Amino acid sequence: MKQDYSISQDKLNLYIDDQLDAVEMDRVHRAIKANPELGERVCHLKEVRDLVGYAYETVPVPSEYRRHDTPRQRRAWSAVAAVLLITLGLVAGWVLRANTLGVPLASVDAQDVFHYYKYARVAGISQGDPRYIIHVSSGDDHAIRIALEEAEILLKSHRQSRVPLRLEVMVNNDIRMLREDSPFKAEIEKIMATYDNVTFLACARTLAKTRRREGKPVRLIPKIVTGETAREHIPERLREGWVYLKV
Amino acid sequence: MKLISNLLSSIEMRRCCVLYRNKLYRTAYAWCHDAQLADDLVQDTLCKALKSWRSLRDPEAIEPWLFRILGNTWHDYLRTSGRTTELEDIAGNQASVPERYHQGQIVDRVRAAVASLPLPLREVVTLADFSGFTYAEIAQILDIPIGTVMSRLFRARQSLKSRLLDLERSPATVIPIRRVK
Repeated sequence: MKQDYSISQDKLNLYIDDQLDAVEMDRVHRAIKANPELGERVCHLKEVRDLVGYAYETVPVPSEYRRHDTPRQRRAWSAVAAVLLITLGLVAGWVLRANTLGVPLASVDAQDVFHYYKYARVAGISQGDPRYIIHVSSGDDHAIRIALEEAEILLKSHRQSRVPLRLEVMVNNDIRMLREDSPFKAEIEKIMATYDNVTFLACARTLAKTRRREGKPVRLIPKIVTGETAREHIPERLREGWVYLKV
Repeated sequence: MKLISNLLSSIEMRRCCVLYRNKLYRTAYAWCHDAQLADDLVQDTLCKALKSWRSLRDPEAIEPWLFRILGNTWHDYLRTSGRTTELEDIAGNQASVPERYHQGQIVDRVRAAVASLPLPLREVVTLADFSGFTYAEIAQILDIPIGTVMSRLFRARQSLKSRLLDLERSPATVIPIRRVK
């Protein structure tokens, strides 16, 4: 594979871990846009990072630790369903990995997601009404647009077919999409005004890191939910039987 | 006043136990892959934290502070038990990883890949990718230069990437997704 020597592997690690300043982030971002192979390397690194994160979220803690857990944490969950759903989510994420960072985007449409939901029902790992979580971990315009389009298609198609739906859009790594001055503000506000079954969430960790980096509070679009990190919230949703779609 | 101060410290410590104990345990488990040992390490860590509570100057930095105690406790255990792994062992460890796994056992597979990393790489990659610390915080927790954090993270991710790459090649786990764009 051809290597892009202008961007070192160390720098790619710094990039995916959000450890670069804004100028360097932008430089790497542009280099990735210009070089799909570099984008693929970034996707591999992100994949490894996410796998390690998910692999240890599910380590069962000793029973005496749970006495202090919140009711939410205490909720019983099926390990088998979690593993299967994580598998499905990671596979979906892998298939969609090229969607990030400027390389040509693939996507799923509502029909695919219906099939995905049916698959989960048949496999016995999802019961009740369909619940989806779309994970956006890129600040790339094209990726954000795809996420919003797919969210709207899902919401619209479920409303038309009178199937109750719950949808969440969790944003981490780059919070640009949900900022008050976001170019997508009008679109997001319109979706939230039209559908009451959709929630946009900003990752608490990304918010804290952004605040630290910029030295001032981050102003978000009104009604954006904050407080939980993506790394805590997504596995929790997977355990509850939500279908995970990564953009 | 001292009694009140001690009481408040105790209450605050209890709150921190609730907040961080699971994360401490899972991080310890990621390092040693032994449930009993991870539990012992966390208990020792919390005991030490309670004893040296007043040495914490910045309450905001409690999380990396607790993890630094955990790191020290872990390294003490390795020294006293004679279980140490050097960075140079990486090639040998790679060869010892079991290669056959059932499809769908992604979590087990990732844990096995992490477990096979040399300890210094394992510590850094789990602190970064699971515990979510910044490079500077990891350097502080493990008491190593930030450049070392970066190089270990680089090597750890490269190693994990090569072991986990065939995940997506398992045809039975692939759900057909139609490209529309």
